[in-house]
Amino acid sequence: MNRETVICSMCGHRFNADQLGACHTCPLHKSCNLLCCPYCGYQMVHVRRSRLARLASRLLARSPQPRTSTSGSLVTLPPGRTARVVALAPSLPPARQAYLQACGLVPGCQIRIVQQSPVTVVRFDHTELALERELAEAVQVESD
Amino acid sequence: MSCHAIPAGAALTSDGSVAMVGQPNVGKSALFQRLTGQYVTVSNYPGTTVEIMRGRARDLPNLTLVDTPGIVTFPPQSEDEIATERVLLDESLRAILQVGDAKNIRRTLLLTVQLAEMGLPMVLALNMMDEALDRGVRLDLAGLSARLALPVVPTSAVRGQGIQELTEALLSTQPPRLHISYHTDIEQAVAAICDGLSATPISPRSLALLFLSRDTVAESWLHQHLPDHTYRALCSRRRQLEQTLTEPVAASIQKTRLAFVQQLVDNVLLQPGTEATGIGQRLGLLATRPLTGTLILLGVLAALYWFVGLFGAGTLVDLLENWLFGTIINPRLSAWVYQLSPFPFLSDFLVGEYGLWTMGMTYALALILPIVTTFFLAFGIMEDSGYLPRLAVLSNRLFRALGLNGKAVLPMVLGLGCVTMATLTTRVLENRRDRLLVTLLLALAIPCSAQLGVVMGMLAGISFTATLMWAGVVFLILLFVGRLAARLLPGQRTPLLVELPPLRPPLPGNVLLKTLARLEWYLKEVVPLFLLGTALLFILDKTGLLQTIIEAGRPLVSGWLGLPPETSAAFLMGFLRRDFGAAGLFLLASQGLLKPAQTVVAIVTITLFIPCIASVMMIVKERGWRSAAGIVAIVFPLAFLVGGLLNRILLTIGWGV
Repeated sequence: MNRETVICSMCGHRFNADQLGACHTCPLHKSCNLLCCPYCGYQMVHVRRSRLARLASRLLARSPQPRTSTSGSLVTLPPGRTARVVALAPSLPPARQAYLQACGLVPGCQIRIVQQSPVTVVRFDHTELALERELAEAVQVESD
Repeated sequence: MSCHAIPAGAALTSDGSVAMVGQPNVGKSALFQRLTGQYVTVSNYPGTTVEIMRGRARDLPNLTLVDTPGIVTFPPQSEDEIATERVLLDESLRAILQVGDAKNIRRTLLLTVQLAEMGLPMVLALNMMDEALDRGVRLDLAGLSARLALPVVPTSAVRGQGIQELTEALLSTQPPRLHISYHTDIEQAVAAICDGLSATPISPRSLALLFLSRDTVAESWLHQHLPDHTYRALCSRRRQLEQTLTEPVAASIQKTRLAFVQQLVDNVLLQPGTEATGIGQRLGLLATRPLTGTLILLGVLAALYWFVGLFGAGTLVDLLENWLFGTIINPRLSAWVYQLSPFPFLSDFLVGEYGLWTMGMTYALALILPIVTTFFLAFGIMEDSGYLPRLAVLSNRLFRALGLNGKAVLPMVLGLGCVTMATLTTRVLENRRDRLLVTLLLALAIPCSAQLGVVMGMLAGISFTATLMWAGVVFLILLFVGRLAARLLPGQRTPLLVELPPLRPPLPGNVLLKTLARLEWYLKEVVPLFLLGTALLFILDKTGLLQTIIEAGRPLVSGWLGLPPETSAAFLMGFLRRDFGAAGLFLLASQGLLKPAQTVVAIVTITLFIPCIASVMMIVKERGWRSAAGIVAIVFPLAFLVGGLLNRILLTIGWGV
């Protein structure tokens, strides 16, 4: 028997999704994707059951899970975080490095992550720059 | 337009021109428009597809302003930036007008330093000063001007502020005397190189620095203007320097400049200002988020398709082609020519079936002109609003699969309106590889709106499965050829790196001016090509070769594709005009001559087939004869190969026979 504990997003009550008494008597129970909190009655989506909800929550997710191998690089920071540029990795082609520097992305520069998906967007000074992952990985930062 | 056109490419010796140089998105075009007014020409920089605008300055008699493409830093990295540096080196300039973004003073000054070293009289216009003040940016302009020893003028092109002051500063400006000391090894090499240089367009010192940074434009200038042995000596001096330095020369130079600029910024930037929180800023954020961005994208695409594809290519073309040219101009003109001309051959040449006027000019003015006009307008608005880079961000993932980056989205989407125009916009891509790849995919797998209409009509008449089959085959070919070509073409995929300028409402005057200048270019450069193509067809027709080609195509069409022999003519017509070809098939299908399977095979083949003659001419114009021939050599056999295979498959599974 699979036991799934759900936390109500309205009142914070913890309950077991498979033991909702009222639901089992309902004729529409079998393909129902909704859950009602037994404490406050708040209705929410049963994400495990609804394929559509899973798809939508993936779409709504702000950023993919950061990769662990590139700690200290731009891609590891969540949106909204501010950081300071430490260095541009030498793996970056010289032309790209010159471009980033010319835009003002130099060591010591204070940046703010705007988003990580579909590509990394950072803001610094009064400039906003979009970088694809392999370029963002080459920008080493120190989180504030 | 009667304009003061400068012979492109020829070095200007006596006439004074001023180059406007600046980073992208600093409002350079808007300022250019403020300074010049309506006397503007646009031309491709010789040997490139980069547009350069020139115009007489309104309040500066005898001065021609040259609006160069945006450059981030030297050495140049894109075709656009190369054109900018060539303007600086090849045209004897009287002065440089740098346009910079007042908000981003660090970036602006890095370019200022490089331009000031060139030793030409120079003025720095700090544009978008109003925006900077709104954000609380405070600058010590007098201090900046004193430290750089050049006039610094705050302007706002959008509001028309500072234009008068800028004009006055340009009239009285002197060469700046900025000297930055680089690494001692570099300084020694520079001194050695400067010894052998005389009569350089920019200061010998800055030319030497560019050469040492392996700047291709400076290299070719020196190679052309110096005796061979001197040039070889320079190269060996540079090799010697590269061996002694621990880092690349360009990087060392840039480091010194960055340090110099940092010191300047520390002194003149009194208040760095705060981030803007306007509606444009918020909209800009939403436009790059996956979900909201996609919604905005769909809206923009729908609007674009409606304006260019339906309004331009539909309504306007109908009006001009069927009504104005079809019922008024062409019948009268034909009658008149046949009456006056003593030679039937000449009359045919002018107003016959493949006549210069009835086909060539009608084609150029009634069919393509409305599409181009609506397209240039829409493109100008998108360009000036700052939306284009956000579009690239959103679609990057899809184009990654094709070995491209998100910047390819624009031509591909516009191809659904008109492939000819879309081929023109491949200019927004960074390098030749990407441009060629997108041009190939456009020619192969993107049906234009004219064709799409007829094709959808025919497929809807059969079944939804037929539509799916057609779309599926074409999309698979797009993916397959895209991946294959991306792998085969030399060069690497360029990861996306793009600046996102703030979204702002475009200036109507600026958009209009740009559209007019581009239309002038179209009329002068593309229309002659249509006439050439028409003349070629006329000759083919008169010599009977056209009929021979149709006959020669029959075995291929009926044997391999399994279609009635009459479709051969439809394919040839499809080359003249895509929807003509599809319409020919439509006629055959409505007469009951085509079975469902045959219809699908014919439509898939004609979709993949070479686009119309106009787009081939555009490919020739943009990519050159060799690439065009290569594209034709790939597309032509591939279209028939896929058509034939589909025919075999459908026969085997017994669908629609």
